[in-house]
Order: sequence, then C-alpha cells, then structure tokens
Amino acid sequence: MSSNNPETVSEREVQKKSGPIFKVLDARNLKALVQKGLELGCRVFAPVKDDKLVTFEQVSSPDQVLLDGITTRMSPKSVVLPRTEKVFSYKIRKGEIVVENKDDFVVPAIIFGCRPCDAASFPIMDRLFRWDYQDKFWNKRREATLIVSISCLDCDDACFCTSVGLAPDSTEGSDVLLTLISRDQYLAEIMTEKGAEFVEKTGLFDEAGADLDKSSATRAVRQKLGKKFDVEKIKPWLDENYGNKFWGEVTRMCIGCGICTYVCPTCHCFDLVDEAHYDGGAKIKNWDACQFAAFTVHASGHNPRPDQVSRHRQRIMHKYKYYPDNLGAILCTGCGRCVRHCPMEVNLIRILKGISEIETVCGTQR
Amino acid sequence: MIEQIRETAKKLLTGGEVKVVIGYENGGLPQTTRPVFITSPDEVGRLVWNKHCYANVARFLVRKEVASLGKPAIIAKGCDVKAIVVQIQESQVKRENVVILGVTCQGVGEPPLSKCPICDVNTPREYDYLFGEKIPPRTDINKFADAEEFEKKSPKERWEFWEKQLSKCIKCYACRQVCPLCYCEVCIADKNQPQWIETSSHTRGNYHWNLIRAWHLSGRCIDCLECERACPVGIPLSLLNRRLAKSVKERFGYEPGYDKEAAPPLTDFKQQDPQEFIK
Repeated sequence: MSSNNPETVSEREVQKKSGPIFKVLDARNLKALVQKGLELGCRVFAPVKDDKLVTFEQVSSPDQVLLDGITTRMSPKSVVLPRTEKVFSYKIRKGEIVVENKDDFVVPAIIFGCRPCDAASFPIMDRLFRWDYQDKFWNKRREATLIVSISCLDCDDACFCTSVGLAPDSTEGSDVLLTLISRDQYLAEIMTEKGAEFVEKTGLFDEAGADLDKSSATRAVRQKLGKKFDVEKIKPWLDENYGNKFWGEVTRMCIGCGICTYVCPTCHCFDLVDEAHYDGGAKIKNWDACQFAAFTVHASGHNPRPDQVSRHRQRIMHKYKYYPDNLGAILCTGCGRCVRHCPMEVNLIRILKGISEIETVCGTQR
Repeated sequence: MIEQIRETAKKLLTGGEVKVVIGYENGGLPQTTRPVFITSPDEVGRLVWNKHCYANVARFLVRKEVASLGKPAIIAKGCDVKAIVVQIQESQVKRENVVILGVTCQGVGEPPLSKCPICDVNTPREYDYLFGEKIPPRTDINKFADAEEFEKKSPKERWEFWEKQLSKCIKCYACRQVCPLCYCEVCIADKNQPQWIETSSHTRGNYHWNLIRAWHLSGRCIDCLECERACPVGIPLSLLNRRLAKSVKERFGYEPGYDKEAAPPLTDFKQQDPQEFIK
C-alpha cells in the first residue's frame, strides 16, 4: 500500500487526468471494509462515539464505527499530523547521551469514512509539507495512509464546501470515494493506485455498469448547500485591506481560544518543545495555534500580533490570501467545524460573506 | 423585556453614561447568539435576549479588546453577575466603572444547561437596572450532588475516569479563554522560560494543565460552566471545579460570587483565622 517513492503533487494530477476507475460495493459490506483493513494489518481510523461526541479514533472492530453524522468533532488530520509526537528522544546513561531516533513510526493506516472536505485537506497541506522543506514526518505518514471517504447526502448550516470550490462528493484527496447511489449500493470512485490495490485486496467490490452516476444522489445536498459567499471576491479584498476597521468590528467577540484551529482539518501549525528530565528527554512536536498570544511573542518580549483582532485576521489572511499566494490553494475546505464549535459564534461564514458583500472600501484604520 | 433593555441601552449611550453596551445578537446558526458590542444608539436594535444567550459576557470586561472601547454597560444573567462580583472583589473591575443591566433568567438552552436546574441566582444579586420579574432564590437545591456522588467511587475508579477524560484534552485552552476569571496577563501555561506546564497532550501534560486550571479557580469559580460548554472534546471540566468549591464551602463557609464585600478565603489571611487546619 505504501510506496517508497514520495508521491508528488504532479504525479497525483497525472493520475487524475487518466480518470478514476468505477466499481460498486454492496451497502451491507460497508463496515466489512474496516474488518478487511484490520486484517491487512493497518491501523484503521474512523468516526466513533466517544461519550457524547463523534470523533475520529483508531478502531479495533467495525462495530465501533458510526457513519451517520455530518462531520466528526475532530478532523482526521491527527492521523498524519499527531497533536503530540516525538521528533527524537535521548537517554543519559553513565554520563553518555544516547539519541534514540524514531524512524519506525510508520504503520500503514486507513482513514475510513471521512467526508470529502476532510479528504481534501490532505493534498492542500501536501503543498506545504512537500514545498521547500520535505517534512519527513508528514510525508512518511502520508505515504502510508489510505483515505476511503464517503460522500455527504446531508449538510448543516455550518457546511460551506461548495463555497470554496469543493462539493459534497468531491474526490479531491480520496484514494477511494464511496457514494450511496441507491438504498443498497455504493458507487466507488477509485482515484489512486493505492486505492485500487486496497479495493482489489478486499475482494468486496464488483464491476460497475457504465450507466452509474453519483450526481443524482448528491443533487439534493448540493442544492441545500448553495453558495454562502462569493469566494472570488475574498482575496482581492484581502489584498487591499490589511488595516481595515472591518477586522476590529467582526472579530471583537473572539476570545482567543484555539478551538477553530484545532478542529480545523487544514490548520497545521506546530511548535517544537524540549521536555528534559534528569535521565533523558525528548524533542516534541505539538500542535500550536495562531490564536494564542504566545504564538508570536519574540524573545525580546515584543509581540507583532498584540491583540486578538490581529490574530484573528491572521487566520483568515493565512487561509484566503497567504496560502493561495504562496502555494496556490485556499487553506480551507468548508467543513464548517470552526463555525459549529466556536463558543462565541464568531462564524467564519459571516465574516467571509461580509467581505464578499463589501461594496465600497471602508477607512484604512481599525 | 428586550424592548426595555434596548431602550435603556439607547439612553445610556445617548447620554454618554457608557461608551459600549455588551450584550447578545442573533447568531448565524440556528439557536445561537453571539456577543455583541454596541457603541452607537442607532444599533441597539441588534440586541436580543432569549434562551440561547449562553455566553458569560463578563469575560469581555477583562479583555483589552473590549475594555479599550470605554466604560461598558453589560447585559448579565445571574451567573454572569457572579463573575462580575468576583472580578470586583479581585480588583479587576471597579463597581462604578460598569453599569450592570441585570436580567432575570429561568435557564438557558433547550433542554436547559446542567447549571440551570441548580441555579439560585435566577434574579441577579447585583445590578443597576433589572429587567424581568424577580424570581425568588431557590433554597431546595444541592449544588454539589454530582461531586458527592463522584466521591463515592474508589480512588482507582476516579483515577481511571479522569485519565480517560483528560486524555482527550487537545490543549486548545478554550477552558481558560472562555473563563471570566482567567484574566492573567500571562498565564502560567504560557510561561516558557522555562516551560512550567508541558504543552504536550500526553497524559502528564494534560493532567498538568487541567489540574492547575482547576486549582487556580478554587474558591473563585462561580460555576457558570463556560469551560464545559466550550470544551471541544467534551471533558466534564466543571466537576473538578465543583469538587474544589465544595471543599471551600465546607472549610470556609464561603461561596464566591454572592457578596462583593466578602474577603475571598484563599487570598485573605488573618492571624486570628479560626480554622485549625491552616495554622
């Protein structure tokens, strides 16, 4: 399943041009895919109920898997970018320091049952982690991870994938995308060789007739989603309005917690910390967030982002201006988690809609 | 009721008595509201008051992004007022520098949040203006029932419970940021020379943060449950706080948030203190 050669963005695109392979899966066999994954020796991550919430966890049995929600509380990004991971650790023994490099951290993984918005986050982040510096932690895990996603047939008021160029049945980032096209049948779009290999090994898929099509199955949800803002108008406004008073007005209720960034499938900032003890220690990579005051504090004590307005602006600028400028993609898949889980209802959709509807440029001071 | 609130807000802003009215407006998602900061009398129509006014807006009295707007009036439920009382006790807010627009409240949320059935401040204890019919404080409630129940478990069971719950923590610090009483300019969790509280989300780091947070709120937490409402991974954080509040009540006969003149037990010390256990 994993390839030794790092798969580059361009290779992915070539594959896409050749078109997907279509197969069908009996709906009763959906969870059997989890069992097959486990039998193949993979770690399988899927939506599970954890007390009151549904979130992505590693599963040991198909019975744990819950597939009826819209999105899970946490996104599956932690499969590839764990919230805490050791870069290396060391032990001090009789005055000698022994460094323990952790090169065996990759066990094949399957992200099963994620939504197309979550699947799409991975190729977006590939652009960064495979840019000037090849991040070995990201890339090795990414190579060893297979993504089997399921198209959405419903949405809620926080969903806005269609407003950022995706769709409830986008194949972007999926190795296999499953769409329930009738009561008892999923249409499988097999997008990559990795996906084809898995489908072959499971032995659960059948040939698809040429007349099968997913568009009628997802038509209703597409209509319900509509377009919540005009994305074309966002970046041109951001290009010109760094200092606009709009930012202060729309972000004043932001309290600076990290929920929006931590539940986000595309936020990927991390911090490197040293945890040392008398007999050893470790260099550890932890999630970090631009919403924290300490994120940008200089050693001198100066903080170039001194207030929450500038921190919140940074998050939107990064997603809708800097990332498109530098890496050619919007760093947002419209999953809606930041909208759904913000304790103060800051609501990214409201802000982006506000930007897209600004007719005249306001003052330049906030 | 909302019309009277808007009218008062308008009067206060027009007369220049306050520069901003902190309240709620309708949110973008169904059954939500969003904290709003009204600075112009023309905008008071945005203010709403309903069952979905969850946020403890007292948080904003100690946030510089809002404090910089000038003297505030604040629409506050009984539980929000409890937070303001502690802010006054702890010299973070001067009583004369805030106009409290108290609202009587029968509970927020549908079904009501878990704090509401054990609320004894349906009518705020401190206010300049009061909106809604006065509701007499209930006396038949046991605020610590769940903490007492939890104490009956064995130490092993309690440890396992918290180990599982705290393992979910992702260190987003929403519990801190949403808390009206977590106003430290630099939180101990952000002190990184050295890093006192490990930022890692491993068991040790998670215990480290969550216990410090609860401990720093002992004798201070007014049980508004904002931490628990905000927590994106569903940790029952307030249970820790309630257990500490129970001890403070038993040992010192003190509950925070009711009397702005009272001396908080953990910040006040006299040689004549009667309690044997602290000598």
